[in-house]
Amino acid sequence: MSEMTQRERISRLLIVEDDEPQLRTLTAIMQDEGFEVIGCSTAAEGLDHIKQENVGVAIVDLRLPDLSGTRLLEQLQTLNGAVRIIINTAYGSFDSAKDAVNLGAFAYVEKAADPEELVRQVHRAFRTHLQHYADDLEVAVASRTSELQQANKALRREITEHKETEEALRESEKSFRALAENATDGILIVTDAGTCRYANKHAGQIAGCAPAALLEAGFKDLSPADESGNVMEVFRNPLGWDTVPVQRETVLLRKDGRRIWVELTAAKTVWQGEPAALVVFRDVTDREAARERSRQHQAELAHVSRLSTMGEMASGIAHELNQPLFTIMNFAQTCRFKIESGRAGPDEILDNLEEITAAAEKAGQIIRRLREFVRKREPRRSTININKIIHEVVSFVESEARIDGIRLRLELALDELRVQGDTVLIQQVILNLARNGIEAMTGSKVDERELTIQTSEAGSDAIEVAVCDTGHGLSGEPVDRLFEAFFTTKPEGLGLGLSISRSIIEAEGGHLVATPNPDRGMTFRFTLPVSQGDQDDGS
Amino acid sequence: MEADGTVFVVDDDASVCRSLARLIESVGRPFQTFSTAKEFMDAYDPATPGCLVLDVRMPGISGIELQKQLAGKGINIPIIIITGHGDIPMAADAMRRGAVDFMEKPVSPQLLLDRIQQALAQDFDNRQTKAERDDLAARVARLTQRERQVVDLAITGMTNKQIATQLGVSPQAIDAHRAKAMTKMHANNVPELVKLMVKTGVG
Repeated sequence: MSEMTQRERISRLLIVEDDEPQLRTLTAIMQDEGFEVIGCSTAAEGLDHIKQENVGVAIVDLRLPDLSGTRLLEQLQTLNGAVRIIINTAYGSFDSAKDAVNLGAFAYVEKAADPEELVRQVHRAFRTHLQHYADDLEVAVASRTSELQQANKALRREITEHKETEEALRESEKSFRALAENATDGILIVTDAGTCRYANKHAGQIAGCAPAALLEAGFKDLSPADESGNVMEVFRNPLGWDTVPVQRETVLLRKDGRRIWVELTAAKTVWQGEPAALVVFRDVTDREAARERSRQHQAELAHVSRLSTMGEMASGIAHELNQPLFTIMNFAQTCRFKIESGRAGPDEILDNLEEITAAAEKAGQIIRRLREFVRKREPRRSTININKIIHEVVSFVESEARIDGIRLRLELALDELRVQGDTVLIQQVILNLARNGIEAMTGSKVDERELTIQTSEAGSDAIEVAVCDTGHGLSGEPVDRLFEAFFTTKPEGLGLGLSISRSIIEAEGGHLVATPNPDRGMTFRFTLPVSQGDQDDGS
Repeated sequence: MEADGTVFVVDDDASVCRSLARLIESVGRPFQTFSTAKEFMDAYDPATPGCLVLDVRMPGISGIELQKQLAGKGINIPIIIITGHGDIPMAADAMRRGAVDFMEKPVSPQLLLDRIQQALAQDFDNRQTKAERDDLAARVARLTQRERQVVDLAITGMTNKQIATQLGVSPQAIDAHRAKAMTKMHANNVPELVKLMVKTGVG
């Protein structure tokens, strides 16, 4: 629908008349009647006016010099179907009148007729034109109204939906908040600087204060300054975190000064447009205490096992001690003879005394080593040289092996293999495996008795120690039974050795397995993770 | 009777070996030390007089095993066994096989030297007895078949006449055989002959 005003649309009357006097007369009559008249004498001009002006009604002479009346009608209709056209002609015929009506002319008035008739027709045409326009307008208004109603409805729906969403969000936030509030874990939102933006009830309980106090104090106050692996380390650069949440166990300093172990998970989040960390943590002090008790328990068991081992080895140890004692006695007696004979010079005596000192020193070493081994002690991790430990173990079992006529063969890796672990515990494991091997061979042929201890690298981050005997192997027992506590084939054994050995190795992050050799005997192997740091040798 | 045999020491502990060597040397006694039984077996000449000081348990061939091997070869060297810890069945076994002594470490050096002395004396005796026996056996070996027959019957207490009857020859012939045999055996009378023949294990 056009944007023009109603008045512009309806007020103009176009008169196309090639006869000049008639055009003037008609124009005058119609102007008298109050119409705004546009007059022209050719069809082309008439069509131009229809195109450019707002013409409501047109009076057209059918005989025009440039175009037939019917053709003009056609074109007028095409240009503007709303224009009411009144044919005014002197040469009226039935055919052309019928044509004119068929082509949509509004009226057909003969020139010979009373001008009043034409005026009447013009009025009528304007009325119908107006009527038509009003109809159009009504349709348009109705359509617009419907559009508006649709829009209104959509808007209402939108508003409802928005309200519902808001409600749902409120509900959801409420339930999430309730969840967070009532969670059995502590939940915090912490910013880069360590300021708490949110703390749930439990966070307060773990920290030993009201959640609000946490918001004031900040999370950094909970982190003991002397602890390495400080909690704040987690928050040092939250933006630099990976998308993977940070997880660790650490010490937390409660408001009452008590230190507790917590397990915390920190994940990147955004809190009110600010990058932050969502920290979930729980008190694992009890669990740590249980773990500590279990470590203690293991240490005690290991100690009992070491004492038992030493008890079993007592005669071998006595033998080992007797060697230097015998040596000392012989050298001492030699000195005595030399002095008594009066033939010996001081150099000869000194030479023997040096031998005595060396033998006494050796006896002292054996006793020191024993005491170190059976002493009750706390587990202590350090970087240890596995080959060195094996040499120490060999000095323990040498005499036993010697007594049983067993050859000890060492196939140690050329490079120093450094691992993390407890010197005495690892020594205990190797000693245990070596002694088991020795005992398994007491029934073997003398020239076949051989105990081999090997060390090698197992990949880039572990080492392997293998203890291989040529003994009786398994007598029908499944391999895994060997590692059960109190499983023993020895009358004097406790049956703890292998089960403790396995738990020691697993506590150090390795594995201990047993496999029967293809020909005879067994091989026990264990792995240990390679030490990364460069700490002191603890042994 | 001073025996000047060599003391052979076999012990796999180098310092024990060295201390024993010094001790034995200090009493002016010849010695040789070995760290394994095999080393000793390879180097030992049974004709050399001496005694063996042996550690009972060693890798490879043990002391007891060495004792058995020597006995198997008919080598009669006196053995003093020393051990790190008392082992009664093993001690009993060693003694049954003819060891001079079984001593537990730490052995008193004086006691050990005494035992060494005793062992060397035993070796000396053994060798002398063996020499005598070898000499006698050589004499017996020189007897003719007939002389041997006469001697065997004479030492049972038979008279010449009885021997002559049993062998179916004249008593004069028996007299001649007996005289020759007595000369060969270096016996002055029949009782002496009997003693000598008992020593050779006959009768």
